[in-house]
Amino acid sequence: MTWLIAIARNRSIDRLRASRTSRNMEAIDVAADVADTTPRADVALESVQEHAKLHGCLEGLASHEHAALRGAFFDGSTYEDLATRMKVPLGTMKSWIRRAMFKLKACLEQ
Amino acid sequence: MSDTFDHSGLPEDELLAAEYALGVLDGLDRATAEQRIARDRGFARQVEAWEQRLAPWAAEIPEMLPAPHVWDRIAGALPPQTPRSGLWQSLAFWRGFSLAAGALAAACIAALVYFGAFMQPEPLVATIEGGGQRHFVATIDVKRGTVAIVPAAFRADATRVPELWLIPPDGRPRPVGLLRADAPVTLTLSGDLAGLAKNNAVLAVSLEPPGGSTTGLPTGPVIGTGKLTNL
Repeated sequence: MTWLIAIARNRSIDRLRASRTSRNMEAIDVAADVADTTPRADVALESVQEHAKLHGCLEGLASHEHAALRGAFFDGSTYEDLATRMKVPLGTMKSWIRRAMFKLKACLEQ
Repeated sequence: MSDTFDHSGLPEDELLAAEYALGVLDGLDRATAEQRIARDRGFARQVEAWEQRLAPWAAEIPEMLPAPHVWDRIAGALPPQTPRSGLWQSLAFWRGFSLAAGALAAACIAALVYFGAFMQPEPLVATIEGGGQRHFVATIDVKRGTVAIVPAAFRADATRVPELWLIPPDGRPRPVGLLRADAPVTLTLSGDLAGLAKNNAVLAVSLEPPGGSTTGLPTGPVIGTGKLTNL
């Protein structure tokens, strides 16, 4: 399942990157709303627990970090897209994401 | 490299793996990471670990059933004699697909060795030259179905990689594989290619984006060519 998701995401990202000039992006907080209001989509997942754990760890991140990760995962945004949408310098966005990934890993391994 | 730490606290290699899995890399960075996944088993495992960490998130993506005609098109695109359906639906099968492809290549080599015993093929050589410079020297071991390429005066290009093509008398270039500017490379000729690697076929090298041409034909400039001759 994980493997399939990864393939699907990577193919989609490559598609997005290839056709990026024609993309219209919504403001970043729209992404958060869309995903959060999806009711019980996780029931379908093999491990609800894993989902809960990931969620718990994401909740533990600073809100800007959480928003940046969401934008990357759900919209396939690049560092540059995210920096533009959240109106911060590229370097700042990189540190946010990197820092967030580090925290996420540490939390998931607990 | 793995002992270099970014201020985030993750080793640089793992950061790259995480960035790739998350999908924030663009263009060249993404292509470079993809190339590394293909080459570097340890790095590929790190990417996989990150994909696993993030995978539960995908549960939030609303389910969408593809339209019925999608499957018809997939079925139409499959080779006519499909193996038993169970196999095609098995994830393990697809996971093992690259292994199987490798085994097939090995079988092709075995077949070449077998037939080679009757034909006693001579090795073929080619000097790949262009613009008055000798770029690569190629030797094809017809028996084993491999081609060894040694860089001569080839100068590396930071943004493009050299790709080797085999051009049989029909004039259509077949991709053989990616070369390196700094080290000899041995590539395996797949079944069809091995049969086309004959006296008077031509080897050519073009410059392609990292990962090689995706169209099956050279997309960048051809920097050199050389005719195959028997040693």
